[in-house]
Amino acid sequence: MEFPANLRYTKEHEWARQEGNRVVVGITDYAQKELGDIVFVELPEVGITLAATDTFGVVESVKAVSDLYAPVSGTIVEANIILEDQPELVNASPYGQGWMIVIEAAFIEELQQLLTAAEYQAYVAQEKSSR
Amino acid sequence: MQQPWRFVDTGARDAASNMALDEALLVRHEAGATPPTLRVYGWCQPTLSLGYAQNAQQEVDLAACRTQGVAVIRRPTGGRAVLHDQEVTYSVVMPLTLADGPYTITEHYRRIGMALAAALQALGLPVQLARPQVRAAPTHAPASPACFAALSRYELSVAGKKMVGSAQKRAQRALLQHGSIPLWMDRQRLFQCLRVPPEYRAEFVQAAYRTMGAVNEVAARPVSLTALHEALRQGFGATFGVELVDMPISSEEWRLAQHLRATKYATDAWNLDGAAAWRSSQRSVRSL
Repeated sequence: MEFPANLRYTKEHEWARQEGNRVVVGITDYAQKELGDIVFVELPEVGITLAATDTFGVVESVKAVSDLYAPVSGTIVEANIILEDQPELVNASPYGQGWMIVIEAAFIEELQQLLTAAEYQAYVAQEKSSR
Repeated sequence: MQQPWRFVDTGARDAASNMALDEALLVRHEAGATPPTLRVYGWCQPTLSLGYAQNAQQEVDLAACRTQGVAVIRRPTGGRAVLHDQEVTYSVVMPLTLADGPYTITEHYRRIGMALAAALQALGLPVQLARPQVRAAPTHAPASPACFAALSRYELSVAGKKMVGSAQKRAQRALLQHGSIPLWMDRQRLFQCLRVPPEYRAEFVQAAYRTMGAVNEVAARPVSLTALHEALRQGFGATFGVELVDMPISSEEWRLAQHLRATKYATDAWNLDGAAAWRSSQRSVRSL
């Protein structure tokens, strides 16, 4: 399972990659494995504004419908609409071709509040273990 | 000692009210306002419910539904079409975190599956909780648009027939899982309501007699709604180690459900055009 070190992560299993003042967002390798085959991705319209932790979309897999949460506040400037026809790209390439949205950040500092790769990996280990 | 769960029977209502209540209960539990809840309910009219992403125009024969008096509703959860009629519908709203174990999607299906299995076993049904397996489909036929025709993870079967069709929606802190437990089943009517190539309809119905089950087709003695309600209550209580206490739907939940019903579940935009179209229509409304 992959936890790229250059990304930040949320407890809702989204990843965020900074590109200047923009943030690329998708769901993690752990999330796509947990969900199983993804059959549907619903993305927001370009131009809408969101606050961090607002839902930005929905993903449906063979197992569940799951809301997607914005890791940072800002405006949606890009949405990967290829996923509407090829949702399986999220399974095949969750950090690459499976990217979902790009947010023009209102407060890029919000990225610092997200989990590092090490913190996210530990969080995932806890979620999977018996307590 | 864990907090008690709520048990509530909201009776047989219209499709839009049923779905609006499911979403309202999830939203309020997510907000921390309510305990985990097991709700049982029914349908005052036969209803075809569609999964979140299903294309209504492509999958449903809307004219046939009208002729048959079958309502059509889109669920907030995923999956395929389910015909609701003589059944108990269960709906559980609970946290993503379980007190004593991992809380992955599969684990939730397993735990809830165990609770359902306990309920059906208590009624004398020789039910098995299915392990993940691939169901062999007729190779020349398209995949069935119907939910019960496929066994997936941790689902319940008697003699190979799927007894419960369930679907799950996950939010940030809580999940909703609901499902149909048919007491009787009308397979002909299901495939009349779905758009299937006419040359395959008979084959789907035939297959459905092998793959789709109903409680009173396999029970030694007829099972009543009340008996199944009580068995579910006991099954969930034992599996999750909690007491289930009768508690009503709160006024906030009713208010939210009425709002969701009016603005979402009773609208053609949501049910027939789909979630994305409904969301766009909502934005246009807000910008007026």
